[in-house]
Amino acid sequence: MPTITLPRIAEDFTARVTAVEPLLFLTRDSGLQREAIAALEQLVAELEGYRAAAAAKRAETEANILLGLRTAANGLIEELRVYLLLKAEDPDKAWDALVRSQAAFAAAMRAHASFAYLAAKADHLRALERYMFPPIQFVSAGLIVREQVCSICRADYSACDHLAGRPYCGQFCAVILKQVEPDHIALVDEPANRHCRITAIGTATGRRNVMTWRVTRSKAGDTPYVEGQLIADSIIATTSDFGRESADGAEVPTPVGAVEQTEAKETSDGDQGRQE
Amino acid sequence: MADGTITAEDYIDVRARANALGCTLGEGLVFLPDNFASAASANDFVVRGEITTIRKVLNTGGVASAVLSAEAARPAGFVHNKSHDWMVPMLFVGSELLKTSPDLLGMAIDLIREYAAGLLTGGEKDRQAKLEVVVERSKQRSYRKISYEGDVAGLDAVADMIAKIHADDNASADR
Repeated sequence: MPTITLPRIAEDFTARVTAVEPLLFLTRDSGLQREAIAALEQLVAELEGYRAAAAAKRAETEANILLGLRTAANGLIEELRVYLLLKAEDPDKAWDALVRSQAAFAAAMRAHASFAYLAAKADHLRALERYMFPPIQFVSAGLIVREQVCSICRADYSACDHLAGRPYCGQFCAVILKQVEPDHIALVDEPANRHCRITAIGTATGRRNVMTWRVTRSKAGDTPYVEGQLIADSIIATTSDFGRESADGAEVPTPVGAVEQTEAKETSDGDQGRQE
Repeated sequence: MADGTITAEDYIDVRARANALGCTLGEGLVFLPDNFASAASANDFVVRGEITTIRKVLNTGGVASAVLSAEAARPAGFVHNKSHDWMVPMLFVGSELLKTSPDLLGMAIDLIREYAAGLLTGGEKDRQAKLEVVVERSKQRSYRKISYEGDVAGLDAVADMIAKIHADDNASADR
């Protein structure tokens, strides 16, 4: 690979991102948005190559900046997917893309201080969430964990010097959770993981999707609807909850069907005080 | 500008409770298990998952800490709550530590605040930090729990309140 300087990479990044920015609206042509995604995926691949090379020569700051550029480009890809998926009437997947976009920009800001300007993008995505999607009931899982492993050095997390959430030579440190037992599930207003949410609620005739409001007829094996009980389909955890989140927050939600919560109001007070 | 709420309330006799569970409180900063007040035995202890990171942060800054445990008990499980807010495990500060190293808690909170500020970068603006510290008042042999909830910048308020409790304690002893 020919030698290319970081300022030159940053300049190229800015030019290619600027070319895509006019397409970050719901009304734009889907074909153009798909082309933009392809162009950004090419950019991500190139940035990943530069990041890996910088990490290999232990150029810490350079590797972290390249990590930030790559995650920011991924954030734009996911934002474009939000618009495409909304136009395709797939709001559930659009929501997941929005959460991945938010996670990617937040990760870029943690990668290096030079990405602080992305706070405005984070605000924009928060506004999109508020105005484009209905109110969401989030779910928060509490886990008891017996073993924690560092994602950087693969040692016992308590025995190494890496700190969760910090970038190390182009890679974020995460805690990998092992020997995990579920402890509780709570309904919360603000979860750490916004993929975790109620996706459908039981009605007398079937499951109502909370995004589309469509009711799908009940099928054999579904928990029967009982007046006064909340029967809900919910995503309660994703791979990121076990520390395998990529640096871009690009985890795949893991749906867990039919979480039953009788007397839902009793569990709507969040996590606090529910562990003992 | 810092924004948060801080409250103080009486807390159980930490030394008596630790003894009853077969645990010995060290002289330095001690993190208490999440279920310290209610656990049937030390084998049932669980601690917040953040505890490992926070102890590393403190250690790097030259502040030693321990986690309350009983010698023969199995290691405490880590509780990972996937909630929005960032919670520091409950800290215990003995009266002797306040007397001999009055600045230690302030140093610890500075280190925690600095780490949390970096960690919460890029998240939602309303993401809160929570911290509880139990302080021992030697003369009255009583315990107060100070609870903070608010933005990261406001964590300093906890050290200020504990310094005030300690000063009041000393003043009442002099009278």
